[in-house]
Amino acid sequence: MKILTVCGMGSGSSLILKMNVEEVLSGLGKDAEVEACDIGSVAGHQVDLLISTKEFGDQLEEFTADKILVSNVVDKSDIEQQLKDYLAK
Amino acid sequence: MLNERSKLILNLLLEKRKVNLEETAKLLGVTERTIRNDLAKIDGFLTENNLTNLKKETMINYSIENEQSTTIHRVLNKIHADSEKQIDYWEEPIYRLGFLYNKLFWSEQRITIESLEKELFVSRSTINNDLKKLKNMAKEMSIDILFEKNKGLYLLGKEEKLRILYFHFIDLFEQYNYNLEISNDDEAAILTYWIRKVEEELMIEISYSSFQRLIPIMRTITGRIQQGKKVTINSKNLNPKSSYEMDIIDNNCVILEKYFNIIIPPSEVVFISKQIYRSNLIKNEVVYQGYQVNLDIIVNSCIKEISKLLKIDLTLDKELFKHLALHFQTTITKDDYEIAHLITKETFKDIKAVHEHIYTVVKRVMQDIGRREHIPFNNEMEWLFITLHIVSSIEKIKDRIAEELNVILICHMGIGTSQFLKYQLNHYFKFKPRIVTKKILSEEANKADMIISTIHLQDFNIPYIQVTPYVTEVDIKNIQRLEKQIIEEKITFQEEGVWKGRSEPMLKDLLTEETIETKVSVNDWEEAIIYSGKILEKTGVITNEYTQAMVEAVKNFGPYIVIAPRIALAHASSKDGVHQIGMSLITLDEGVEFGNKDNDPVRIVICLAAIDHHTHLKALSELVEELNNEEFVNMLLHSDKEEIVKVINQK
Repeated sequence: MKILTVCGMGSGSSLILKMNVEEVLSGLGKDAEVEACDIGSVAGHQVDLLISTKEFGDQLEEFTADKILVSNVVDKSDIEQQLKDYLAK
Repeated sequence: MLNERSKLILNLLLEKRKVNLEETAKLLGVTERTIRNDLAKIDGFLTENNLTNLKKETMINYSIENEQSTTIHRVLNKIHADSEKQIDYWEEPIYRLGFLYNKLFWSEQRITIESLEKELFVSRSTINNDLKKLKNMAKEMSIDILFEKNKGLYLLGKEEKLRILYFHFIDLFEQYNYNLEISNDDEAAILTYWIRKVEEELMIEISYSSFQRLIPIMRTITGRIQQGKKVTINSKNLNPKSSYEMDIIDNNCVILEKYFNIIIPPSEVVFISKQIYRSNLIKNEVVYQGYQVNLDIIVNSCIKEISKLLKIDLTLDKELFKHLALHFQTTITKDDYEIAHLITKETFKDIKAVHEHIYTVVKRVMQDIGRREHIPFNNEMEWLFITLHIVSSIEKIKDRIAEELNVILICHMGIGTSQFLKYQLNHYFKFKPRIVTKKILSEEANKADMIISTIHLQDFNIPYIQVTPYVTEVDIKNIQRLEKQIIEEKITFQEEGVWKGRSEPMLKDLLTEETIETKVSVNDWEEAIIYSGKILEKTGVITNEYTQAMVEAVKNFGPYIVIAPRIALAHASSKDGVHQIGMSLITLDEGVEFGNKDNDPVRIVICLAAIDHHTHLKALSELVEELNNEEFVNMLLHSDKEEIVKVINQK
């Protein structure tokens, strides 16, 4: 599975998201390739899942990949819950 | 209409059936380009008279169909009868004006009207009329055409004005496809070489027509200097470009000085550079189906996205940028541009097979960009060409890395064998190994990329290889393999923590009493970000541009930097002015609205300055861990900086 975490610069929130997502997934025993990138570069990637903050919801609309949007990027339990929901689909 | 020279060439063709471009140019004392123009005129003439065009063989030989010769002779005779009275191109007044000015411009003596009459085959009244027109044109440039009794006409005006008017005629003639043949082939060749060289060093690309025009312009300038005429521009005031660019042009002027046997003073260097920069540079915008397409943006995103996917930073390769811009310029603007002709199916398959990964990445990026910019980059050949550009850029980077590899040689058999070993290695490798004794190895080793040793070493986490003192082929192969591996590793972006030896600071290294402020009072979010930035500006971590960029980021992308309730993580791109990695933290005495409806009001602003995508990871992950902890956040809000530092240090 390929996951892309997205923020404005690709070095702040998206990195935090990437770290948290990786941690949550390894806790769940799932293997995934997680990459962080800035909003302008999303188009260059082909991924299964986009994870970002709610602020970027509109800008990510055009992409067909599944999306998880969070409001608190440090809140691991929220990310875990949303990832579980996604994986159960 | 055929001019005299075209008629001559046509006659040559009729006589010899076949002419060679180079020979004809030599024979008539003009450039090959002029001949090519003449041949185009002949083709036009043939078409007009419903005759078959000239046949081209390998672009250099032109031949005429045998059956046609009688018809051509007949038509030619007719034309000849028509133009008996006057040579046709003299009918263009502008040509006569140009000719007049050309005479006046180059002549070092007065020119009599009689001599002009003779040379132009026109009546005195025509000359007088032309002179009147020319005088008006010259007047606009503050040039006077004066007449001295019993001697003749001469020009009076500032040298730079005289030249500009002359260039004006060069341009006009270009439009009419005439040439003021002022330089011979050798001069044209040296000037072509000179312009190419300057162009390359200045990293500019002059458009074809500007290039063609610069040759006579440069010849004019050098010719005038040969005549002892100089422009009087003050080199300080009129400097059009940076001193760096002026230096490049100045240095290259030595070539012209030698060839034309002149001395080019600084004012002339300024004049020359003005002419160069007046040329049309290859534009960074092209029009595709009525839409303006910005090449910079396409090339930038192409290189950036390919870099990202390959995990190799190609963004610093200026040459790659230039090459791709030129490539796109042609493929976007020319619908019928068939790059397929340039490469065979077999080569295509080979390249695709050898560089499969790069090809796939290029394809993916180009399709994405094509979709975004509405340009169909869907051509396999197109992808292949870009692949080739990327491959050569990567090779270039690898070469540079190979040369700069820090390799240490350790040899227990004394300096003689070490030298021998070094000499042997120089044969096979680009790197310059340093001989180090085992005693100081531990100090030197940290900086090294690779250690080559004749003795067994222990406890080094630096790539190390043991060789025999008389390097065998197997040793060379082993070193090559290791070198390749190190280069591959160096060329790729480093993922978290893989990069040995680079220090990744901990949170406690970054958040200190110097970088924490508590209970700060601000009016709005902007002030809060600026306050957090100022702390790092003071410690020399970032520049003011970075602080501004952090504010801009929020304006551009919205309040996404509010990453959790009450907490904002302000940052910008590492390119915006970061000297070193750093972090600051401020707590606000009152909550501030950032516009993030889930997480406002903000009480804690953390400013992050990253130098890349990984060095700050360790500190960031520590921070994130803590921020997820309600207790820690409350501690931040209710403590002074001494206490906060104490808590962070205990972690």
